[in-house]
Parts: sequence; structure tokens; C-alpha cells
Amino acid sequence: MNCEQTRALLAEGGIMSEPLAEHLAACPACAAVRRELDDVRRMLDAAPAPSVHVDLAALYRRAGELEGLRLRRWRRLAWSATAAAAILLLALTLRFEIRWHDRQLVIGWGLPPAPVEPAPGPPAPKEPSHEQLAADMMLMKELVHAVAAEVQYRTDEQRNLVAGLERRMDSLSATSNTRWTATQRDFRALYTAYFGTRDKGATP
Amino acid sequence: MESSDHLLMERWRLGDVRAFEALVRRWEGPVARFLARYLCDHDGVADATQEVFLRLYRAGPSYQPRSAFSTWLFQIALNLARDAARRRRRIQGSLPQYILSDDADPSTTVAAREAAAAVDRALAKLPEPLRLVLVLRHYQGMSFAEISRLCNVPASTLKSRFAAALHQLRESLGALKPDYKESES
Repeated sequence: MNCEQTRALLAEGGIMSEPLAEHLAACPACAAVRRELDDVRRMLDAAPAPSVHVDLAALYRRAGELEGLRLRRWRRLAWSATAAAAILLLALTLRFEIRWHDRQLVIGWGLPPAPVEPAPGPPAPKEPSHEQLAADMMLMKELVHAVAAEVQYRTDEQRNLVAGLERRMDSLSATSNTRWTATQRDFRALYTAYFGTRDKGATP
Repeated sequence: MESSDHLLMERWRLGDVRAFEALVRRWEGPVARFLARYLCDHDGVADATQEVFLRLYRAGPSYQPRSAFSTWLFQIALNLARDAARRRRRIQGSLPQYILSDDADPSTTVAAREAAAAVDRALAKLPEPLRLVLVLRHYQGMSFAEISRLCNVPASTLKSRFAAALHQLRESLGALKPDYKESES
């Protein structure tokens, strides 16, 4: 056993083994270290220990108080948690929403407005069957014939109508000329009556 | 025949108040000594010890006999002591007023007072990790393995710390040694 091992064992305060005792007997330096450490240990032991007596009555009383305090805290916590859960549930049910929109605080609840459904368009045309197409073609032909016949009829009638209208227009024009001539004659007579003989070339 | 600590804890958990009282009477001295040496505050030791056993009382239902009862109890005491030390920021315990018996030799009394005060000052100067291992090893007689479980520090580190603590104390108390030795003789 060397000095380093010896001093380590001495510092640890281990049991005095035979190799340790032999080394201490042979090494005055390690023996001096041992004496110093023993002195330190004796001095540490010299300080009297405090005498303490735990007051059990006070301990039980304090434990009861702390238990009551803990229960009150737990109850408060339970109430707070219940209230928070209720608020959360209400917010979820009402779909409560707070958001910032266009420099305004928006508070809303309820379902968002449903998107406007586009009006249904006209039903898609059905592909006509061959029989239907043939019937339509026949109907179209008959209509063309009828229109052709009516056009001839309507042309004669329109000619008569136009002739009648022309006659009426000639009659109205003649009537109008007659009335205009009479109006001019009356006007000249009145002018002469008021202003005398008319100057040559002068017209009213 | 004294019941083991585990047995007393079990009896207390079953409702035997006397078992708890027996535990308190058995351990109040060691706990008080540990707190006094670790905190270097003899005035507050009574309150701190009371608080340790109050915590023990409240933590009793959660006790699991996986390790020694003393390790569990000193873990509670150590946590409380560290909380107290943290609150004070620095350990500034008042030095104790030692009460010695009246029939002691007056010269021995004075020397012992001086020695005790010097020891407390020297302990207060030690860094906290060194003081902790010194107190647990020297005053509580714990093995390094037990201290390792308590502090969650390897035993080899604890041995180094213990040796360093003794070395520092040897230097701190060296000046006092001759007088003390004279008083001893």
C-alpha cells in the first residue's frame, strides 16, 4: 500500500486494515496525516448537538390546517375547471368567434350564412327519336305549304288594301286642297277689309 | 424489542398514531443534528425539525419501502434545508450558545465554547456540497453508498468531496488545535 492509497483511506475514515496499519507504522508522514485527521474529527465531535423535541400536538394541528387549505384549493380548482369547461362547451355549441377583420373586432356566434345555391338551369334537351324527327319533318312540310298558300292569298288582299288606301289618300288630298284654297280666299278678303286695297306685290 | 422503521411506518399507515410518535422520537435527534450542522443555524433548528416531521406526516401515505427509511427521511430534511438555504441566499446562521453543565471545569467550558464556535465557523465556510457530505458522513454516520442514493452523486465523487472537506477543515481549525489540545489534556 502506498502513501496515496493510505491517505485516501484515511480521508474516507474506513476501517483500519492490517496493510493500512503496517504502512502507518512505517511511514511517519502518513502517520502525521492520520493524527491531524483524527484531531479534526475530535474537534468536530466537540461541538454539542442541539436538543430538539418535536411538538406533536402542534404538528397534528398544523397538518389539519394544511389539509383543510389543500381541500379548499382543490375545490376552487375544481370549480374553476368546471366553469372553464362550461364556457368552452358554450363557445363550441354557439360557435363563438372573435376575429379581426378590416380594422374592426368582429364578435360572432352561430352558424355562418349558407352559401347561395345557383338556380337550376333548364333541363338538357333530350335526343329526339327517329319517329319524332320524321313527324316533325312532316309537320314542317305542311306548315311551309300552308304559309305558301296564305302568302298568295295575303298578297291579293294586301293589293286591294293598298289600292283602297291609295284611293282614300287621293280623296283626302283633294279635300285638303279645296279647303286650303277656301282659307286663302277668306284670308285675303279679311285683309282687304281691314287694311284697304292691297299694295301691288304686298302679301300679308 | 424495537420495531423497524418500515414496520412503524406500516403501522402508522394503518392508523396507529403511536407508531408515528415512536418514529418521531427515534429520529428527531439525528434530524436536528443534521439540520444544525448543515444550515449552521442553531436558532432555527427546532422549527426546521418540526417542519421536517410535518412533511413526513403529510407524505406518509405515499411512502414506499424501496430504500432505507433514513434515506427517505433525510431526503425530506435535505430538501427542506436546501429550500431554507435558498431563501436566505446565503447561510448566515447565528452561532449557537452552547449550554454546558454547571459542574464542568470552567477552563474546559471556555475552551469547549471556543472550539465549538470555531467548528461552526469552519463548517459555515465550507462549500455546500462539501458540507453536505461531511455532515452526512461524519455526524450521521452514513455510508458513501447511502449518501450516493440520497444525493444522486457517485460515491467516488463523494469520497473526494469528503477528503476535500476534511482538508479544508484541517486548515481552518489548525490554528485552534494547540489550545484545544491543551484544554483536552
